[in-house]
Order: sequence, then structure tokens, then C-alpha cells
Amino acid sequence: MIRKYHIVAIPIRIVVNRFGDHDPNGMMYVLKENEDIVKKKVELNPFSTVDLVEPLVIRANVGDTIEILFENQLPFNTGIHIQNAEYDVMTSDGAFVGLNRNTTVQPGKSIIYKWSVDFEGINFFSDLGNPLSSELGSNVHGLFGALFVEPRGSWWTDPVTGKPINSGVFADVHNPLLPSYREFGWFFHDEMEVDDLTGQKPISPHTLQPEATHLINYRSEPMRNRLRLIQEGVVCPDCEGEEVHHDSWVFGDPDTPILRAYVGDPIKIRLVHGGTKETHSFHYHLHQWLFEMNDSDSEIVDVQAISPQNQYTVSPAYGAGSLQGAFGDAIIHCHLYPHFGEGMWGMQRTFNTLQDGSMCYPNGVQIKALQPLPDRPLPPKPTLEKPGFPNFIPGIPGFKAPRPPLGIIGGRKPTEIEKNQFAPNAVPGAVFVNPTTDETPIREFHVVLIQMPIVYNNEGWYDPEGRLYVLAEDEEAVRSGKKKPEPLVIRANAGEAIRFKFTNKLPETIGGNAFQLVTRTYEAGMHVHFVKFDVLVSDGANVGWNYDSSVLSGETIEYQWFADVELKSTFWHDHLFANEHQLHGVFSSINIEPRGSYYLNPYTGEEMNSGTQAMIINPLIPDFREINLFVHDFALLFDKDDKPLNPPPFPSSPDDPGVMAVNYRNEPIQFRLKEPHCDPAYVFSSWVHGDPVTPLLETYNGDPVRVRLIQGAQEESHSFNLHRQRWHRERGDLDSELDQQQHIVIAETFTLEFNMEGEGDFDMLYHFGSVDDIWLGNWGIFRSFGKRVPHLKPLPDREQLPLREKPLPKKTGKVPPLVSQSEFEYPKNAKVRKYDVVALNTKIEYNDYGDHDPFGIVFALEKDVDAILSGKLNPEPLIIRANVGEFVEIKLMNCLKDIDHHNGRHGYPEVPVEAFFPPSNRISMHAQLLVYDVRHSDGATVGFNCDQTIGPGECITYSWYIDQPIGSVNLWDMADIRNHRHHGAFGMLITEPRGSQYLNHKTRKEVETGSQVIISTPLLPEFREFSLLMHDGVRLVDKNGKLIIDPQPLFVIDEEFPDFEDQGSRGFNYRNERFSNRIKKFNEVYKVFSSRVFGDPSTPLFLAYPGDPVVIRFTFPADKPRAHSFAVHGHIFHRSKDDINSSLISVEGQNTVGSNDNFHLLYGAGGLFSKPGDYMYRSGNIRWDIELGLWGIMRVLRNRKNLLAPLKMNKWKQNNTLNYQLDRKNLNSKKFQKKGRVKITSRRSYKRKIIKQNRATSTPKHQNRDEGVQS
Amino acid sequence: MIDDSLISLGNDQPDINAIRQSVVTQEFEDNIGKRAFILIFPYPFMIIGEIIDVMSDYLIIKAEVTNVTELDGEEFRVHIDDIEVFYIEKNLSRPIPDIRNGHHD
Repeated sequence: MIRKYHIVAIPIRIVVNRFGDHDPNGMMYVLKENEDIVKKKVELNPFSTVDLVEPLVIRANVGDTIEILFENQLPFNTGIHIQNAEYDVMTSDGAFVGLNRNTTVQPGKSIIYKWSVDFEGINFFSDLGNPLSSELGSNVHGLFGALFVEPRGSWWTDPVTGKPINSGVFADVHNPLLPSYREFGWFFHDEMEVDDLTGQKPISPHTLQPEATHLINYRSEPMRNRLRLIQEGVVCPDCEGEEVHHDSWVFGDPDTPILRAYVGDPIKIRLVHGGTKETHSFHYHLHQWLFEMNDSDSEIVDVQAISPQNQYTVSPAYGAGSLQGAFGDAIIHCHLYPHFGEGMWGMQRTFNTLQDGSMCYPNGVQIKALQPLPDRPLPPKPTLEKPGFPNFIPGIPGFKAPRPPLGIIGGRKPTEIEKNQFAPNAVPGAVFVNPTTDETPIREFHVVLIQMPIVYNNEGWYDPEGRLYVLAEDEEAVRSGKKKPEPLVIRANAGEAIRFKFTNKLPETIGGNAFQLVTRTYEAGMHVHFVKFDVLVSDGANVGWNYDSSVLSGETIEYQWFADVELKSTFWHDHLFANEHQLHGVFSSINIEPRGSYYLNPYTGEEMNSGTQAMIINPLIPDFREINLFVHDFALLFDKDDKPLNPPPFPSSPDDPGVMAVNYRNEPIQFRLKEPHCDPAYVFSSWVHGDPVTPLLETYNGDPVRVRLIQGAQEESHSFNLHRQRWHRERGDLDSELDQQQHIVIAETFTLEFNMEGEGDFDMLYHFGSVDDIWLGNWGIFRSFGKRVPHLKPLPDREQLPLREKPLPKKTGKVPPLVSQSEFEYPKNAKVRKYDVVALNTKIEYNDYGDHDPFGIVFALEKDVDAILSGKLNPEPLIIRANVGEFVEIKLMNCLKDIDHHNGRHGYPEVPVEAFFPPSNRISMHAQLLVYDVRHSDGATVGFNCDQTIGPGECITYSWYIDQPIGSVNLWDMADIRNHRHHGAFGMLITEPRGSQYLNHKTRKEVETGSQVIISTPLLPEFREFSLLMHDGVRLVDKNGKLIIDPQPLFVIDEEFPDFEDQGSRGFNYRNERFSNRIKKFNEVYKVFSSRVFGDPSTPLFLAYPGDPVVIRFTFPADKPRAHSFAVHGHIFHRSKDDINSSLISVEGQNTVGSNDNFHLLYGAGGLFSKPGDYMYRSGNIRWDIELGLWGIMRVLRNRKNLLAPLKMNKWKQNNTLNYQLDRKNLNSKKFQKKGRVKITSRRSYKRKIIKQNRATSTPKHQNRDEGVQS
Repeated sequence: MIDDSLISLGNDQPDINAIRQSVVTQEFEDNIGKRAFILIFPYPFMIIGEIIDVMSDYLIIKAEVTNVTELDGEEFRVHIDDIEVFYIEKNLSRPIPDIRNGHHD
């Protein structure tokens, strides 16, 4: 079916809330049929929101062709670039790339784009005619939208009127075969130019400083506006602000999206990141969903990190209200608290009675009709006795929501109308729905929330206002120092109900220092993720028309959570003053273990009620060790002299204040330099400095381990990296990738499960990989023993180990000895692939315009060193390959010359709490994901391991084994994280299928390295391999030797000083193609990607012929915490390469230090239609990556050229492809079709047939061969 | 003489799948009334309970415990081919633990 839409890009004033916050220079896509209506409504309502002003969502069904007549009414070229769809890059790319024709549109002109869609999901589209990162660009002003693709045969209606619609972010989608569902477009976006009613930058009444705005669907409900109403005494004069920010009783409903449904309605939230910069944390209270919607093995999640231009479908299990059928308001928000506070939240409203438009909310506003889904039972009509949510709640508009009935000890009695609504089995904490039965086992805890100083390290960094949950039974021990403060971790088993008494013992205020203004924090609660609860009374929050399920200081409340199934670690925290005190430590976890488990202290063997480390004992499954790691940023610490560490520009500023930690501990590497040499190569060494204060997991070799990874606070992305051990990305899905790194944002939780592999005693480094994290001390050690040690209990079901006789190692203060291993023993007939690698200083030219890094540090093959040093070869990162089943020996030689741009204080790109940290002249090479002995081939000098770094002139050999077809893995130096990595001390190793040869893409001669090669294997089809290392934090100078301070947007003077995580230039493979080198005028911006105008970019130019199989190998080795998206135009690939149930995507988000991925482009080069042309690969971060040069071209050549050798097919394939094509031609002939008896053989079944035939004919040969062998 | 049903597609070898199926079926039939632990591919993945009956190639099992508490106590009809792992509690064999309430020996 062909669907036609006429879309217009228009300038429009976008008012984002009823307080008049607006973008005067907004831009949007709109259907032509709505253009005049929208313009007129906006003209008539300049200070209020207009419903039709929303991101454009159009819909189509699987299999449809979509024809877009696009008209540009903006004063610069624009276009529509779509993701995940098939199209001709020459006519419908919506960009002007390489040698392609220009498919952006001049002002006042139009164009026709054609797309086809073959699978359900989200096709994000946005403008690439003006991809500038500043306010001169189009994307920050709203020029994006999406095509939602529904199952075949679907149609869609307006949820209020029930009538068919052509566009709109919300729709009810119906299908003759499938259940109807409610579809909600949810577009996060950021960096919009939002002014207040008066046209000024919005000012926070709390800090009296300008404030940013974060948005959903062109709407934002920031705290600042609501706070003003409190301060002016209009509403709730005794309130503080944050605790009622989401309270509809006080303020009425927000202008941000409210997703309305009846209990049990199926829901699909189409989550899209339309913004340009931040990686957000989408959290949906009360509900959980499969990470991959169509993969039943997939991980259950309730938080989804999302980077710019990325997209996910969120389809909650059990529909609205989850398993327990809860009704009420469930907030949906970005969990990054500053964003939350600055307006990025909305909610899901689940009604338990029919809404036909005749009812009102308690404040008198009409409840709009909500059409029931046609295949769902009709909800009951509201009655006087049972008026339904929210009208049975005894609140008073203009005042804070009432407290829940039953739960508060000494609280009020329920009203009669409330009682009418009670669940038959109502208990305190589960009043209106209670999924438990009389037989459900119950586990009880009494939790208190306290404040006390917490010391984070041995240097005396401390938080004077540390706040933490503790069990009531431990309160005295923690306060008196007998028990060290750590985030509270409690445990329960699947199938249990967990009942809490929670007492708020916090002081009523916080702050009054360089970090925070004095703020009242007079109430608190426990908001939990994942488990099943009654959202009205146990949400631990104050949302919409719900109760305020928190308590004042000194009060106690009861909650009930039901753990229906085994879960990973389950995050909980306070939701009332989270912005103010979560960063002081108010985060915890309940780990839901397999049924029948009990929990022992790993050091005493006694049963335990809480603790971040435990042995989990189970009668059915193997016992395992468990450690919870909570990563934490915005830790507002002071040093021992009471000096604030990394204070913000003004108190209570959200501009990245404070430092970082793991479980309230950090070990900054600036304190681990040992005089006189102060060599950074030994910062991780326990021989020199003793063990770090960060969590240390101790195991015996072979022990099963589950690492429960959580981010407790507050705004940054982090990247957990562990040396040597690997886990499946989704624990229950063996098709998911093996990983050694995990990106994480606040409130996400992951379980990393592995058995501790290795021999003897060894230490492994874990770290949160960005330079800022490691610098501030977010690293630690996992230690494993080969023999039993007195202090660590073995797991009860493991075989008894012999007792260790030697004493345990202790700090000596001396540099550890170099590893002595130089000869390795290999199995007989093992293939050992050897690479001689040299680490050297060299200038790296990043582009043809003279931008370069004069202090580059690269790894290079020894044979290339002369060419590099003589300037004949501009180095690329080292990219080496090995086949599965092979061993790799790296002989690394250190030729560093001890030069850098500084003598001790690094400066730009900066890290928080900068300090003296001279560059090391030692070097090493660490490999991710491979199998090796940590004691000699880890490349890191960690714990009590020997030294695996080398000094100038020295050599070391590492030996790795390739046991799995992992694809790309990061290689990097571990000798000096601060000074080496961002200068280029990294590389990539690619594991290839067995028997592969690596051929030059032009000559087909065998090569040892290179980013663009042909992989030729005896069994599989040949494919082209394109390797990309995306990196940031680069320190470049221009051709005149002037330092380039990035990010500096083009054509504007940006007064904002960039955050630490954004500082530095970017690159693909030591190259970038900055806009500033190509265009000088604003009106040239649409041409910036054009090779016709500016020549090809300096970034790698990848070549292929139409239909060639292509694999893109991708890694992110360095350096900063900012996460990036990676996009490929016109091609799709599976999110998990080995999992055919994983989503088909063309953008992969959340790439950060340690990420590695493999994109197998479906249908080969040129997409489904094998269309020649130039396909852009790029970052998805409009701010600031693309402008700083993170883009390049994959060129699909129409005709054979000498610069690219064609792929060869093996003879068998050539013959049969030909036969297949001939047969197919015959079968398609009218003669056969008319008779209606010929079915076209699928390629697979045809192949099967051919194999069978071949077998039959070749049997005698095989027999002869066999006989020959025998004889 | 080999049963025809055990002769697979003309290669004169017993059909190993038929043997497996009949042996497994027989094993369950022989132990009707005893407790069994089974891991199955479909939901709810794990069942511990009493073998009630075997009908053709289906096992009828009354669950004491499953992976999902709501299904404890239900009677399941499981195809023998869906059973990936099983253990039947016989007189002298190790008892199947009860995972319902915390502690066990």
C-alpha cells in the first residue's frame, strides 16, 4: 500500500507550558492539512500551549510504501532524514552527502521522498539540512518527528473521539488479528532555546540563577514555575517545592504528556530521543517490559538509557497497572535529577472507571473522554459510592495530597468512600490492590533513613551530610562507627511479599554550603522499582492525584512490595527530595533471589540481613557470590581541610558539582603517586599503595559470581569495565553478546553473571572507564584465590580447596617486579599469530586542514614505524585481527620519548579536581574480552599482580586466546589513563571466523592491519570489514599550533563553559572533519557533507559494491563520560548480532569508553534495494559531535573500479547462485503462475535441495577420499 | 527382530528419538505417584510436583512449586519432548528440596 503525506517544515512559536515558557524560534514538521490551523491557533494563543504543536507522528503498516511530499518553509535548506526505513539514498536521504544529489530543500521549495518499511517499530526522522549544534541549528528547535510502523492490517483512532486520525503522538491502534493497544509517542529532547514569559532566560526562584529546560513532546513542567506559586502563597504555602513538584492536588495536571488508559490496557510507548546532546534515563513507575519487545528471553527492565536519535518500544508486561492491576498515576520521567527538575516528566494515568467526558478531576477540570479499547472489558461506570480514581481520594485542591489510609502509624482513619474502593485483602501498604494471597510468604524489615558524616577515602574526603538507609537493628552500630556505612542492600526471595516499616529520621533541612543552599527536606519515603505494589499508597512518592506516600521526620509508614519473580537487583530511593539528597547517599537495593535461597556473610559464614556482599545459597542452583556496586556522581564532598571538591559555579547549581564514588568510597588516583618517580603506572598497585578503599570482591577460582550493578546518583553516564571476566549482556539470553563493559545511567540495574576464571591467585581491575571516573577514584579490585585462605568462607557446594600455606601478600611500598613470563606453552598444533607492536610518540594529522595532535601516542606494527616517524604514513589506530581458535602473541616495545605538553598539570581537556599528575613514560596493552592469564597478560599492574607495564626501551609479550567470535574488542594502554589514552594509546583487535584471511580491499593481498579489509573465509561468504574507533577527549592544535578548545560551536559565541565530560575534540580513527574547516557562512551549512563541494572528508572513506556483505566493527576506546550514538544511513542491523529476535536498528546509542559492537548490515551494501550512493555514518549527537567532525562516508560504487577489488564467491556458490537466479526467473514466468501450481522456492529450501543433489552426486568421491585416508 | 517403528528412514538403524521418547515416557509411567523435578522449555520453565499420570506422550504433573508462585498447586500437562532435564525422587535417592520457605537441609 502507498501512503502519502504532505509534510511542511514551518517556523512556529512553541509554548511549552501554561507558565508561558516558550521557544520563540521553534520549528516543526506538520501535515499540510494542519498547517493553517496550527499557525492560527498559535497566533491566537501566544502564551499557552496548543495541542497540535507536537512532534509530528505519522503511521504506516508493515509492508507499506510511504510517499512524502516535503515542503520547506524555513529560511534555510531542510530535509527529512529517516532511520530504519529502506530508501534510495540518491533521492530520499534528506541530506546532501558525498557525491549524492542534494535531497535537502531550499526555502519555499519541495521534494518527494519515498520510503518503504518492513518491520514494526519506530522510524525517527529529523533534519540534516541544518545539523548545527547551536541555536542556529534546526534539531534543537524541534525539527524532528517519527513514522510509527504498525502490524499489517492495522488502523488507528483518536483515543478521545474514537475517530480515525492521520497524525498525532497518541493513538489507539487496532488490528483484525491482534489486540488493540494504546500507542504513545514519547519524545525526549534537550537543549531547546526556551525563554520565559518575558522573553528572558528562565530564572530559578530557588537559586536566582538561569536554568535549562528539558522537554518531552515540546512540553516541559519545570519545578521553577510551580515553586513560584508556592513562594507567592498562591498554593500550598507550607510546602517547600520538590516534594510537591508532581502533585496535581497542588497545581493541577502538568502540561507534559499524560498517557491515559484503563486497567489492563495493552500499551506501547514509542520512546524516541529527538534531542541533541544528553543520554537520558527513561523510567516508568510501576511497570516493567522486555528490553527487546519480540524476544521472550530478553531482560526485564524498568529503566532505559537513551542517547540522541535513538529509539525503543516500551510495551509494559500486563498492560496498564501491571500484574496487580494498579490504578492511579505512575510518573514517567528522565531519572537524571537535574533534568527531572527542569521539566522532563509526565505520567501514565490508569483509570478504574469509565471516562465518557462527564466527570471532573477534583479541581473541576473536565476528565476528557477515553474510548475503551474495543476488545477489552468495559470498565465500570463511576458511582457515588465508588467514583473511581481520583475522586475517592480525600484531598483538597491547592493543598498537598493527603497521606494514604492504613499505612501511617498513628495516621488518620479511612473515609467511607475510600473503604468502598479497598481491595478485599487490603493491608497497610497494599490498600487498593494487593497481589498477594494468604499463603504468600512474608518477609519484614524496619528501615530508617538517617544522616551522618560519611568519610569516602583515606585522604579524608567526606560528606558532612551523608544520608543513608539502614536497617533499624543496625542504626546504632552504623552511627557509632562499629559498622561501616554502605548503601543498604537487603534480599528477599521470588514469590515473597516484603513488608516494611519505614521511619524518617532525617533532619528537616540540608545544605547551607558551597554546594547547596539551605533547603527543607522534611519528608521522605521509599520508592522502589520492579516489584509489584499499590501505586497509590506504596509508591514512596507524591505524584498526580495519588496520595503522598511519604512521611514527615519522626513518622513511620508501612509499605508492601510483592516480588512475583526472581529479579536482578532492585533499586529504591527517596522520591520526595531526590534532587537535594539522593546524591548524599539515599539509594539502596533489594535483590530478589531465586526461591529457596538464603544469604550468608562471606567472611563469617553467618546468616545476614543486609550487606553489599553475600553468598547466596540455594538448594537447586549453584551457590554464588554476590556484590552490589552502586556508582555515584555529584557526590558533594569536602577534603580534610573542609575545602569543597569541585564546587559548582553557585550553590544548588546542577552544573556537575562534586566528585564520584562507588558504594560511598573512592580512591582518587592523584593520591597514588609514589615519590620520587610519581609514576602513574603504579596507581592500581597494592604492592605500592595497599588495596584501595573501594569495594573488594574476594572469591575462589571458579566461584559463580553475580555483580549487581546500579547507579545510585545523580546525572552522569558511567561505563563499568571489568578485566578478564565476561558475561552475557542479557543474563537470561544466551544469544546476547558477551560483554565486559556496561554503560549505565541512574536507576538502571544490571546483573553481570560469570564464573571466576583463572589459575593461582590474581587480581582484576574494575573501573568506570572514563578518565573522569577513574581520576576521581571509581575503580577497585576483584581478587581470586587458588587455595583456601582463612578469612574467606568457601561456597558450601564447591569442592573443598587445599589450605593456603604461604602468607598473603602485603603492601611493600616498592614497585612490583616485572612479570617474568616470556615463553608461553601452547597446545600441540596451536596456531599462534604474532604481532610486533611498538608504542611511540608521533604527530597525528587529524584532517587535511592541519588540525593535529603533536603529542600523539600510538601503537603501530614494527614494520610501519619508520614510515610513521619519517612522516610518510599518518598513523591510524592499530587494528589487528586473529581467528577464532588462535592464540595471539603481542610483543610490545616501548619507544616513548617522555614528552607531553605539560610537566605535571594536564589542563585541557580537564578533569574535576585537577592535580599534579605527570605523564608516565611506561606503556602497556590491555585487551578486552579475550581469554588470557591475568597474572601476565592483562596489561595492567593491578593489586598484587606483577608489573605488566614496560619502561622505555623495554619489551613485554602478552599472550591471548581467541575462544569466541566476539568481533571487535578494545585495546588500550593501562600505564597512564590520564595522559596516554586520549593521545591515541589505543587500538582494536577483531576476532574473525576460523580460517579467515585478511585481504587488502584494493589488491586482495594479505594484510596485517587496516580499517578497511576483505575477510575471506573458506566456508562463509566473503565480506567487507570496516573498522571504526570513535573517541573523544582529544587535545588538538591547528595548523598554526594554536590549541583548539572544543566544543566551540560554529557561528556563535558560546559563553557557556563546557562540562568536563564534553571537553576535547572528537575522532573516528584519529580523524575528524570539522564543519569549521569546510564552511564559513551559515547558508552553506546544508552543503557541509558534500564531496562535490568540499571533497571527501578526512574520516575513513569505506568502499563497497552494491549488495556486498558488510560488517562494521565499532569500538569506543577513549576518553570522556559523555555517551554517543552511532548511526548509519540507509542500512539496518540487528541490535545483537547473534540474536535474530533482537531489534532491527540503524542507530546504536550509549557508546562510551569500553563499548564494542559489530554491525552486520542487512542485505549488504546499499540496503535492501542494493542502491549505489554515499551513505553517511556519523554520531547521533547533533550537539556537538557532528559539527566537530564525527561523520564519514560509506561509498557504494555503481560500477567496478580499480580502487576496489570485488568480492569473490566460491565456485559452488557462483554456480548455484546462477542456477537459483535462472530457476527463479523461470518460476516467475507467466506460464507457471497462470497454472497456479508453482510456488517460488525460497532461497533456503532451494539451497537445501542443491546440497542434497550435490551430496548425491559427490558421494563416490567422498568414498574414494575416505578410502584413500584409510589406506 | 527390530520393531518397524524403530527403523528410521531406510538406514536400518533404530530411530534414536523414538527410543528416547519411549524410555522417558516409560520412566515417568513407572514412577506415577512419585515427586519429580522437571525443567521445560515453555513457561513456567521449572516444575516440582507429583507425577499424576502419563497419557500418550504427555506427562500430567501436579505442581507443588514452579518458578512462578501463582502457578504453585496447578496441574500441568507437559509434552515429554519439552522436558529438557528431569529428576524423579525415588526411595533411596536424594530428596528434591522444597524451595518455598527459605531454609532447607
